Amino acid sequence: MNNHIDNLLFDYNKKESALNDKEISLHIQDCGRCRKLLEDYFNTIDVMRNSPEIPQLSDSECSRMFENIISRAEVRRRKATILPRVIAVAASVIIILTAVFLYKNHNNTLNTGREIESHIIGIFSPDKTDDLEIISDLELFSNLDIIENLETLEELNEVIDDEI
Amino acid sequence: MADLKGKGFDPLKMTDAEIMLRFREGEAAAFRVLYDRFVRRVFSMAYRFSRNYETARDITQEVFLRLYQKKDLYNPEISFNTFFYRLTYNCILNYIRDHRDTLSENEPTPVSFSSSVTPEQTAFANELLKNIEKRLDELPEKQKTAFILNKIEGLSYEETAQVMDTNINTVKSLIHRATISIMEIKDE
Repeated sequence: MNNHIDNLLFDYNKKESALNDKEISLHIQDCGRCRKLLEDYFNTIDVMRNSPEIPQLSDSECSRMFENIISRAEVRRRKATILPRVIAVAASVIIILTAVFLYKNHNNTLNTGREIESHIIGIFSPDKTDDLEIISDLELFSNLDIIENLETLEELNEVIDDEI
Repeated sequence: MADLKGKGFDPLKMTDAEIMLRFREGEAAAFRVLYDRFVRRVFSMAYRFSRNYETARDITQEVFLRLYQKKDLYNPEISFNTFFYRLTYNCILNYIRDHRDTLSENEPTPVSFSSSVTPEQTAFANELLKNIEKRLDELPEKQKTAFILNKIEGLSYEETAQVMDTNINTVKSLIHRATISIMEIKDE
């Protein structure tokens, strides 16, 4: 590249502004090369700004595009409003299903506990039905407030011992 | 337009930034005004990057669709040019990135001149233009973007730097190198 005013010239986007620059106007008076560069540079920019290489949009095409933009924006807006609602409903359903599942699972756990209890009793007693009745009786007796004296308790124990 | 004036909305007396503010505040008609002001500029910029009419049209629609949806992000403390061209630049970059394979297969739209121009003049002008545009296409992407934004779209160095998310000195350097490359083709 040369040592003329290229750097200074390329700072301008309009010819008039460049010519108002004292340094440029003084320089091109004596420098044919920079005078030509100035003309070429602004012609090139002008040609590029109005280049027929770039197709033009017709008014009808612009209107069609605008309608398309508005309808697409409306579709996206609807999606944007509907989506959070769908997510909220889905989340509620998941929470309810989870709660139901946990509740059922909890009952199953309780039932399993009872089954284990019965199984342990079964190990010690061949007749499970009788054992279970005795256990029930014991529970009942232990909860009775009428057991107030030791004699009654001992009698009860004897009955139990006999039965066992 | 008369109805809009009746509502105290006279776009002819308003800057782009003022219209954008009205749009952000919910004035739907302001969007149409912005569209009419910028649609051809966005299209030509998109065309320079894609060299295909349909693609440039798609990008243009996407730019305005985003403007419609992202209106709340507009900050009046930042120049409207910076906001708008950044949106445009991002749309173009995204599109190019997503369609890199198909873009190279695009056929450029043929050039047509007015009927008053002689075939010789047409051929000469066509050749000159093709050379200039070809040289522009051959520029590295950042040089090309900086040149288009500053020299063709008329953005200041500062606005160009903000759109490209870089500093002014880098932009000046990019534009200088791009200008030298383009001017060299003209000297040939």
